[in-house]
Amino acid sequence: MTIRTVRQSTLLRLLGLLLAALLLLSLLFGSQAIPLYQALQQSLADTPGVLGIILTQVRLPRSLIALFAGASLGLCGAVMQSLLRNPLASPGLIGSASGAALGAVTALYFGLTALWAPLLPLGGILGALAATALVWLLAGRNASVLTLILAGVAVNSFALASISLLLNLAPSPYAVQEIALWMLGSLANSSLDNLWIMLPGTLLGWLLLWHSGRPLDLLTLGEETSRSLGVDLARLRRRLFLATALAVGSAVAVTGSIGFIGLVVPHLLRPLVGHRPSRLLSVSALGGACLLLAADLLVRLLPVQTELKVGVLTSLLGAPFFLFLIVKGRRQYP
Amino acid sequence: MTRLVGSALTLDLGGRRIVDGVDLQLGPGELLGLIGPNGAGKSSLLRLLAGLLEADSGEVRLDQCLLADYGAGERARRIAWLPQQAEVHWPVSVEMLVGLGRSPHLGDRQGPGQGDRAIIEQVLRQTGLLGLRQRPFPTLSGGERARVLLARALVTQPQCLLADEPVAALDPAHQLDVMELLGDYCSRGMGSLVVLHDLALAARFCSRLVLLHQGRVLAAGPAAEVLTSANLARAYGIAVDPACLFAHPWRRIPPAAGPGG
Repeated sequence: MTIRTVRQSTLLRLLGLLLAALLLLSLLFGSQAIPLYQALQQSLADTPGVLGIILTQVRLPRSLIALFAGASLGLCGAVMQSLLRNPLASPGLIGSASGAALGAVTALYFGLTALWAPLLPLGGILGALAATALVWLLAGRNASVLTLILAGVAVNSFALASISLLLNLAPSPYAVQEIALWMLGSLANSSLDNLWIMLPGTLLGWLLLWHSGRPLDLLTLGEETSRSLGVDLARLRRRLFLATALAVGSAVAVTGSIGFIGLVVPHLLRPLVGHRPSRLLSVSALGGACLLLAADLLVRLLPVQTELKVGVLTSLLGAPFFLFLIVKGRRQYP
Repeated sequence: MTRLVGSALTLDLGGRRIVDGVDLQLGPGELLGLIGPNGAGKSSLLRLLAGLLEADSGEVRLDQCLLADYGAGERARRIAWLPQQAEVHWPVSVEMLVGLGRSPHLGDRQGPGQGDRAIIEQVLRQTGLLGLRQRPFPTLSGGERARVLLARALVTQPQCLLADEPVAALDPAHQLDVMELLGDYCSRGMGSLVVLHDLALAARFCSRLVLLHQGRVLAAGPAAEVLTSANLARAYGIAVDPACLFAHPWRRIPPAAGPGG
């Protein structure tokens, strides 16, 4: 038995092409198909027409938010799985996703969004940073992987319990509905404002992940051996935690919780890169962006009365697919 | 001149004294055997010398400078550490795993160059792994895994190799191969500290032995001085005729006369 992999450049090119195609489709199709040329012309005109406004104010932010959020989820999923050497790790494991949800829900609960709409995603990003910092402090400086995971589970449970408390105490059924629907995860309310709010955290997070491939490769040999090969483990963890808090926090703050992308995408692509952590990163980012764009496109095109939330769709399709991967993998490595 | 020196090293873990005032010197070109019963503190001593654990007292010096003052990268280029337990978390290929040993010599974003690839190729050949290079690690046997991890440590081309039971999982012929290979590297200047349980193998290949017992050095020096009946009785609680230890029982059959020619 030997390892067969697709060449990295070929894989990146294929995924890049797929992403470009999905981005184009995402701009063209929705509740109403728009002719691109006409819409472009209109959006560039001095007084943009309806089509132009749909393109630049609705479709473009929605598509780009899907792209950035999906890429962050895929990328950080790959990072967390490699850092913790656990294929079941998700980007939200260390508190970023639930913290972001709690921050955003708190903003909704206290009606801060009525004062200024961007307070919702800003609260989310703040929540993600706070929850991740809490996991970091709870686990301690030289925590084992198990301690980190347990601290993550504890903080996640606490954040979810706090969200339940806010739902419980919500002043009106409308507030409950607003919070519950936001939690499901959707790109339907994407605006250019939201795009600008998520962009700095997302890009800063990605930047922090630059050059993290080598140490993640070395971690394949275990933490002690990687240290003997020159990896500063505490510093690496700190950097990757902050990056995940920023990137995933920014994504969740704007879109709500979108499950399974960060878990499934790295899992699916790992065999194609020979299980090598450093090669998984860029590939998972592209894969995550493709998957979220495709899921959002599907949500828009499904002929149903109430538009499905994209978070519902990814979980609905993701869970059985994940099971399929597990059953398939069971035979490979007993 | 000695290269790696541990002086009065002491380590407490969980309220127990694991290493107790150990002095140890490893010179260039030396193949030093570290022997002693289970729980004598051999692996902990190796971790102290590799800079992976911090001693409660005492110090480790590498070329006269404190090991703790070396940067992580510089230390990784000079000292390679091979743990007892194989720990590999993804089913990556043999070639990729062995290649990881070159990382300390590479820049942040720089891949292995022609020189690095030649070294990897050479070590794969020396450890008999050329035919396995594309195999995923989990599909290898225990002995093959041990050779892959040894190859990973050798491609670093360190000044000092600290190897924890590198031959424990190997068949007799491969034990000879690995010990001869280590001897070969040492003859070209590398210093090796190797934990061994096969006393006859240690007597045959090591230039010097250190016998550890309950965290202390019970005896150190040439094999004949260390492997005495009294020392072995005290350390292991066994009665051995040292003469047997100095007649290591197997040799490799020359290829021409080997089975099947």
